[in-house]
Amino acid sequence: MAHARIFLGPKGCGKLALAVAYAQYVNCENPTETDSCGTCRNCVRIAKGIHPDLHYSYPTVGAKAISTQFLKEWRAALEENAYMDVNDWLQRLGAENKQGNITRDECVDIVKKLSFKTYEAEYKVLIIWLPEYLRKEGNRLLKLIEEPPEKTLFILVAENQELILNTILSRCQVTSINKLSDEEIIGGLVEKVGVSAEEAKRVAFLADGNFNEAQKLLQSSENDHATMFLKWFRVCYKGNGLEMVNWVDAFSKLGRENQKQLLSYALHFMREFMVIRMTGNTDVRLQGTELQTAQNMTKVINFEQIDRITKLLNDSYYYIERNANPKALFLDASIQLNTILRRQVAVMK
Amino acid sequence: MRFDDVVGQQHVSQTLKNALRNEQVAHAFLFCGPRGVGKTTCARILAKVLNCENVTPDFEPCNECNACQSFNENASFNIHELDAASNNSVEHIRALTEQVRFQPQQGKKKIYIIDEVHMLSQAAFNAFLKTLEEPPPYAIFILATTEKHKIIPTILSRCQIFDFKRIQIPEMVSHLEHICKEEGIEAEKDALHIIGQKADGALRDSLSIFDRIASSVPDKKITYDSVINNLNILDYDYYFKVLDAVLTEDLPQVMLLFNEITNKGFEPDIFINGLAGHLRNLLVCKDAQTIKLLEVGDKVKARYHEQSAISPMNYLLTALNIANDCDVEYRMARNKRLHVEMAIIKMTYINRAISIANNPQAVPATSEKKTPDLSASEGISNVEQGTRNNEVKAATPPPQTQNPEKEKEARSETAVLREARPDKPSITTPKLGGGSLLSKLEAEVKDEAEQTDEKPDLFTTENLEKVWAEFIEKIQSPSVKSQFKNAGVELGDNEITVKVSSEMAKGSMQTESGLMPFLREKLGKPTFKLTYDIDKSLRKEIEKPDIPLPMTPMDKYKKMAAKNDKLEDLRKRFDLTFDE
Repeated sequence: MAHARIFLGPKGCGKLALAVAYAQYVNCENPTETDSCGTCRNCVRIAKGIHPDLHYSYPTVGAKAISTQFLKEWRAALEENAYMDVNDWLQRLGAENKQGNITRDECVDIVKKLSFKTYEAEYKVLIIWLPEYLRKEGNRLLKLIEEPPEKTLFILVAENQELILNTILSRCQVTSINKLSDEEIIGGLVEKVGVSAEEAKRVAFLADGNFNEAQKLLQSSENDHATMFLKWFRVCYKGNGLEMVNWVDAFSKLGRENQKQLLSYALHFMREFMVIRMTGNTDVRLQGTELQTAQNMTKVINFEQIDRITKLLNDSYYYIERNANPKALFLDASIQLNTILRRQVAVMK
Repeated sequence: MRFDDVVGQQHVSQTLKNALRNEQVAHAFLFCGPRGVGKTTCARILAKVLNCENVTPDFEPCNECNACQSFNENASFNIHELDAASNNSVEHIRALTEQVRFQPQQGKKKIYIIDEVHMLSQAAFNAFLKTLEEPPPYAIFILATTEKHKIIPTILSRCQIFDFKRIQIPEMVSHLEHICKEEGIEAEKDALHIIGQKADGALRDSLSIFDRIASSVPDKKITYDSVINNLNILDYDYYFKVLDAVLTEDLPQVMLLFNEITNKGFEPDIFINGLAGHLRNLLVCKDAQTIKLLEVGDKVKARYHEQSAISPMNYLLTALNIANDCDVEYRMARNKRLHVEMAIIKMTYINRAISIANNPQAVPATSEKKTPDLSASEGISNVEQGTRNNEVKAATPPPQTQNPEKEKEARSETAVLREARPDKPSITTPKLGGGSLLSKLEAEVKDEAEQTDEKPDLFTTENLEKVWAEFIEKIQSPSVKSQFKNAGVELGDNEITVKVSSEMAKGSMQTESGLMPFLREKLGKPTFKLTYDIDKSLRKEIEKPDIPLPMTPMDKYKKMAAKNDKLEDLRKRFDLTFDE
């Protein structure tokens, strides 16, 4: 068994949950071939997050903060949603615009914590959630990770390999975790959140393997992006200025999150549309009217236009994320979209 | 542990041994180099040798004396290992210099190994300076770090510096082979090669990867596939397949392959970076001199060679450029998958773009030297040679598009060869049609055979016209259909010329992706080229009458000035300007 592992996977793939399950399995008193028993005292306490030999480290706010201070919030957060991302967690701590960090003091605390013997379980396990936030403080843990005390396991739960110190990476065994498939997300949503399969499917197509994102989408998805987007497209295609302004007025009132979601939906739509346009394959992740519209559009839009539209949508997303004025931005985008769409049509006549 | 066990750092261990032989050991060393190359290991061995009671003749520790034993048990009083990353303040260094003052209780030397020394604070470095420059005669410092540039110059100048090299792949492979032998594990050479490549110059990485794989495979056999699966590395094979499809402009195939890759859990950027690496390898293969830069096993090398022979240089460079652009913008893209797919579609259509761009000026045909070596199978190569000569003669008319087309021909020929080699009988039992690749290849083989046997040929004008009409029927879009109807087709030797009325019609016909495969299949000839001629006479006379543009004040003035030349004089004299 490797003494230091990195679980590396994209956001919302459940790697933190996996790390806890791994820690539980190695410490379970009567494990089965495939999983921990879930009933012995170690299992119960690890599942609750209160086992004395299971240590957590996570990004915290404040120059001298250490993880132990936030243990209560951490337990609550973990119980609520093990798929959370760092932003959810920091907001829970009330960070607002502050950066999260795994501090120097936290590293010193880790060294101290791990120098003790185990209390009762077989192994003491340290789960470092998002070692990316160690930044250069990671150097302090190098020696410890390379040659840890007896019966000590490190599990680093990471998202972005490039932000972790090379010297740490080289001391760990990396296990990559794939993002979830659409089917898995649909299954998970139906089972855990209890939505209809139809609804789950729609959200899963957009979430792109991120279960956390899928859950968030469900909460804020009263607006039907598909119809909204198709209407926008139609309006822009017609090129009636008044209609465009009306649409933009209505749309800019919806709030940033919705606008972002619409844009990512639009990109998703363009991706599937491109598959239809370029390969003629209609087995894509679109349903009903969306699919029909996409098929109709193949006659009007060529590859170069797809390229330009994609860039436009991408840029709009970028600006919206950075607090651009939605009215100005979307009107501009609509006009640009119109010129892109019309160019081909004008030549055809 | 001995100096001889250190992999790939002979230059360091040799120098250290010479110093020991001459008894000119410095009092401060700095070992630097990338992660996992043996800095700490060397430091420990050196410390051990210096304290060993009976050093072997070739200056290795004996591993039996008291000093060695106590070091092995982590109980040596004379060798101190300090983790500078967690003891980085002035206080820690002060405590250290305090300790240095005392003589060693047993043995000759007192040795301090300070690891990760780049983490010492500025003040700590400065506090250390004096002790480092003039330590007592019994004290020796060995500093180790991965980041030499973070160490202040005053420290650097007081130490003997040893730069550790990245470990080369062959060295790594032979080391892993050695381990395999000791542990009784069987391993494929290609598998070890991949591990070495992935480790990127660090032996520790390669060992930990090796450990992980060795513990996951049953019956102690490490194969190439098990390594690929375990490391989540994209198989070479995919890149070859993707590029093959890209070179033949087989877009659906490219998309399917990419889909397969993402379904396997690879991030799109891994793919695009890998593809860029693949293109780089192909470029390296282009020249006999640079071929040794290719860090792969022999089997794969041969495949690289094969593919590089059929892909033209400018094509590779353009593709590499696209891949690079895609990578640069990757971070910004919201829909990563779409982003990468756009890039590979662009790559697929490079040939078209190139031929369009090259159309105005003729490009001299330089294809001869790039044609693959066909001498491998004699019987077929004769046939090939025959057809090749025909083609060279035939392909004289418009030389501009010849270059890419020629390459494509060469490509499909090698495909034929590759397919034909194992089972030659398939040449005599051909079936025509069928969608699968194999049957297509068989059709191609049949076609080659036909040409030499002078069987009835499908590549005739009548047949072409029939096929052309058939294709037009299949087009759905009415506007494209009418453009196809307006165009005329002509058959030349080995080429089909399509006469179109305008640049625009040409464009829309070129985007009709089904055309080439359809013609290839129906005409039973995989290697011909399609050129477009713009013939203005074909354009229907529906040109609109000249509608005069609304006149600007400037235009009006010019017209008036033409009628009366005094006007200009007037304007000049009063220095008049136009109303904006």
